Amino acid sequence: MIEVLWHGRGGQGAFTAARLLGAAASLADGRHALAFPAFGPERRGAPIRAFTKMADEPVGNRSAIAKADYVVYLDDTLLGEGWDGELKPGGMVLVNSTRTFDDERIVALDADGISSAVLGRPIPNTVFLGALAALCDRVSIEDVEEAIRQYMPAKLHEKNLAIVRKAMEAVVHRPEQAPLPTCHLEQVPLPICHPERAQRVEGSSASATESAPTEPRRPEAHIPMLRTGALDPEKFARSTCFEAGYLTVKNAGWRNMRPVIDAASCTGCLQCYLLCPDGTVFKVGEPAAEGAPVAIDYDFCKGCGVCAKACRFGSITMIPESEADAQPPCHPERSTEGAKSKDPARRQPADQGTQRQESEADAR
Amino acid sequence: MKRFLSGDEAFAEGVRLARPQVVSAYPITPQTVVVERLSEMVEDGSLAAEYVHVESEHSALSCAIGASATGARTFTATSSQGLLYMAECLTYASGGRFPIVMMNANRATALPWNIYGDQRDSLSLLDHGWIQVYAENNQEALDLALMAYAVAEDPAVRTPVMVNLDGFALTHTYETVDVPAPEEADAFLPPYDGAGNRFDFEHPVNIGFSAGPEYDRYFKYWEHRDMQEAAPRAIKQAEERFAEVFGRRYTGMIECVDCDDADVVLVTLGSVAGLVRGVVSKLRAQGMRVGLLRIRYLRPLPSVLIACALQGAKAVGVLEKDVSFGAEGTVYTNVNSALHQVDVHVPTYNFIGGLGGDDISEAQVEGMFRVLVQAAEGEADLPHVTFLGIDSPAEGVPSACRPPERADAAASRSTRSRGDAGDSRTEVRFAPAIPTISGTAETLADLCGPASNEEGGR
Amino acid sequence: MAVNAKNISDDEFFFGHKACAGCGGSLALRAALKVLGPNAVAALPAGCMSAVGFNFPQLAFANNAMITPFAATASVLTGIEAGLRAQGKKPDDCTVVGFAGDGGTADIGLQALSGAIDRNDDVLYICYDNEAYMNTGIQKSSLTPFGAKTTTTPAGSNTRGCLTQKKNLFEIVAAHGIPYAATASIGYLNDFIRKVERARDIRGTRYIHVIAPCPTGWGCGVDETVDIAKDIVDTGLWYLAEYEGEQVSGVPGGRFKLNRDPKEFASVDAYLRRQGRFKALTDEDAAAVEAGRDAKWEAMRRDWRG
Repeated sequence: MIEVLWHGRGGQGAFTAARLLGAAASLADGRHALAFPAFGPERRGAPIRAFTKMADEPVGNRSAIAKADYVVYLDDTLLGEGWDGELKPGGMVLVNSTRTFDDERIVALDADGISSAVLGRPIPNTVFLGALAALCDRVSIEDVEEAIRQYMPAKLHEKNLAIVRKAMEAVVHRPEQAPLPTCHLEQVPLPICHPERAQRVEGSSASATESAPTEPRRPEAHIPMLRTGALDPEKFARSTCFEAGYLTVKNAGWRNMRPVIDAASCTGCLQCYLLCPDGTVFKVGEPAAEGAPVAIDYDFCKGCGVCAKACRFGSITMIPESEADAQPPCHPERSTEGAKSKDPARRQPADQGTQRQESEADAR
Repeated sequence: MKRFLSGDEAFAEGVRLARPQVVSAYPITPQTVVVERLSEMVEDGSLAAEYVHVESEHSALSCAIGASATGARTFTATSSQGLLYMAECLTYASGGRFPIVMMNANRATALPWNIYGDQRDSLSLLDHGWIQVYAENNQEALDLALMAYAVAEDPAVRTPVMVNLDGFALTHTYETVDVPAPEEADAFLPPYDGAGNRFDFEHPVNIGFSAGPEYDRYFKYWEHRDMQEAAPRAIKQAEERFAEVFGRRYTGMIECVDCDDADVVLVTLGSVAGLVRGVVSKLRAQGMRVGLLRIRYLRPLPSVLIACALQGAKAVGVLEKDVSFGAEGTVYTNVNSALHQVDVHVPTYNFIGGLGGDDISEAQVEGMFRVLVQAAEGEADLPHVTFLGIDSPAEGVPSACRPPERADAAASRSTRSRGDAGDSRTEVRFAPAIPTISGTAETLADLCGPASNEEGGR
Repeated sequence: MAVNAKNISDDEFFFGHKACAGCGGSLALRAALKVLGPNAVAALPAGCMSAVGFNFPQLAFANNAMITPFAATASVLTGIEAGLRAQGKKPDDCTVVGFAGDGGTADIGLQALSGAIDRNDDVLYICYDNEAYMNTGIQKSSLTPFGAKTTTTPAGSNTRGCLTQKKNLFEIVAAHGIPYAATASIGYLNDFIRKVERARDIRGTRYIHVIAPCPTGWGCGVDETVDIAKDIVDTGLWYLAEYEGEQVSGVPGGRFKLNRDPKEFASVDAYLRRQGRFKALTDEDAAAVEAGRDAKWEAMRRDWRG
């Protein structure tokens, strides 16, 4: 049996790809496949997994895949420590990335680029169907194409057929692993994609920045807190009544864009604080001399960008996590400068007309 | 104080003595009198409770759940379709371990629409995590109102209790009951605290969350274990204390009448046990070694008690006002399971009767005992499941004391007019017997083939 | 003193939850709980906010809060309030508050809500309206607007999404003679906050219906939630209004009040076109939506400005 483990973020189409792959692999008589998502409460943006199992006989085992022949990452921020623990011996990782990796088991593919060139926006999932057709004997490119024709809406056929062809070529003709610049995975403290573990790993990196002396702190307040410690079923499981505001995992692993505050232009209008759906923007009690009056709790920020859009002064910039990580440490005040220059298009200067809040006057 | 009360009224008296702080209920026949009496008690100040006029049974139990989550003692009551309508909330109450007490007036379930008593309603919800107890008479009903709170609120149990009263046979039948004094009731039942399972403004809590596959099993395991282990202990303790305070003693999760040396035992529950009790006494006087096993608590299932009580019998009948369609009576299934667990091998036979309020007569009960004796002696090939009034051999057994039936009564129990329609105004055609597995080796072999497991053990 | 961004409590009672990035409903809950304070007791039925907020052992409410059966938000609120009051345990600043979605309110929970209003139970019911069953993956509710594509009102060659009009729940609630009801939008968060504050200080049943866009279900960017919630008000397709029952207004039959009456509406067409869910709408459909808006506003301006 060939097993494929898909890592993505909710909304990236990981399960769609898992399903199409399963369909392709079971088109021929006597071929069988299962495809299923990991079900959980997490929502769009959260790390999610999906699974494809392919075999010559009906697959009876419907459990999640622990070790796979191919592990696909639709988002390279999800590829982190422990990645090789999910590989069978001889297994291979396929990752959506423009980086190169110093491990021959990892094949990087610019799936965002390939899909953007065809679709006009990055939807990386079907790229990996073409890639798997190139790498895995179990699925042919013809079967992948047929699966697309049978199971995708007609209007998507042409473009996705183009994508899988391009992806296949990209894999077949991929350059030898470039020696430089390499990305040492051990230095990327990002999560592998089991959501709970992922966020804990992410958290441990975030906690390193917390120890920085200048890190802004939340004022004392009622707020759910991260806890550690064992839970004893004999105690917790005899009612459904438990301590309020008990958190065990962070949400940082959801984020692929990071809001960064420019202290110099921030006026302290607090709209970002008021409008954050997650309560992760907080008022800084006594800001440092050069610090902003608001700060962001990156342990729980999901990177939605509502704050950046709400900011009438353009003081909040959304930068890709990969860039934020490339410039450690990710202290907001220090990273702002660099962030701004990186992706000016994302700054989206606020349109005063549509952004003004109706009763902002109240707020001042 | 001696009073002549209906079951509904007696139960309402019991509830008043238990001092619930929130009562939420929606009227349904034959429960209605309970909520009317409780409303009056709240109005006249003799019950210091919030009475919430909910707009449905679903809301009745939901409201009780919300109130229980604040640490309040709560009560609700319903019946039949109302119980089914709140069925979703039953698992919220039990899974949340809210010690709510509910009275259920046992009534038939639609369709056909029928307001009369049978036990299909509560028995169909046996698996919803509630302790289920069945009263035999109005005194027991009243007493159970108090004991149910003691059991439900026991910190080791924390499980809701459904007290079942047969519709009309108890709810609307008057008899003398002793209504204890409030001081006695207070001595028996302390106020509910709810600590650890209620909102707390000093230390806030989240109640009734979701738990994924990695945690859910623990909650279910402990829900099961506490009901199975802690509830029987709490029931025993409650009955001992009840006897100390009120001088009335109950028999635990089951009651055995002349079971010790009985050749045949009829197992039943609810008000019909009173009838069976009388027949046992009569047949004993005639020298027949017969007994009654009354199941009081069906959840938790007192498997060992049932099996031990039945182990000396040569044949066992299970009489119930219920059928699990396509299978057999639910109580029958449970009794068989109990016997199997304890490795007791006694032939068992299911008598399904009293459906939709149909009467179960003394003659029928006698007939059941007689065919059971015949089966025990190998003289009768008795089907495992029979319907009284349709295909039960129990009615074919001659009985000297079968009372003549009046036309009106016969008409209201139409299916029983077979054979002796007499002056019935309604002619009902003979209903064919349901083919059943006879339990003989030949038929089992025919049905299951040589490799099959033995199925005739029951 | 009016609550605003400067003086609103630093407390975060709804935090660490698993809602989608940019979730409008979570902003509504967060803001309301900040106004209601630590002694609020919240009840939430099956739905997005309970699904993302109560995942043992990740419990995202810092205050007393509980889950309810889907249809039972209002009746559980009633029970909580009655239980606290019966025991004399209800703090003075305790608001018993429910948060239910549009389906949980206008469909399966409407009976219980009506019952609670009928009894005038002292509870605050907040409907966060994201215009479909989002928890189960975007199915039509009775608050889904005309033309919106959902998974149960697909836009195909025969129909173009939801064929029914959004149920007028605010006025249905008001018709009970409730002490206080209001509409709001997270796009006008200060207005919403003011209404929560107002409702907090009124006794009896209070109802707030707040538009809370769902980027996933509406087909817009995750950063657009607040902006689009403002747009829906600016277009006149939603409105900010209050109803004060006779108990509060002193006016027999109660009084409606329009809080915002724009001289000029923003473009309906642009509002519809920026969302994936309205993609299949024709120009005629969009014109019909606009005509419906105009008729509604004519009535509101006539009847609610007095």
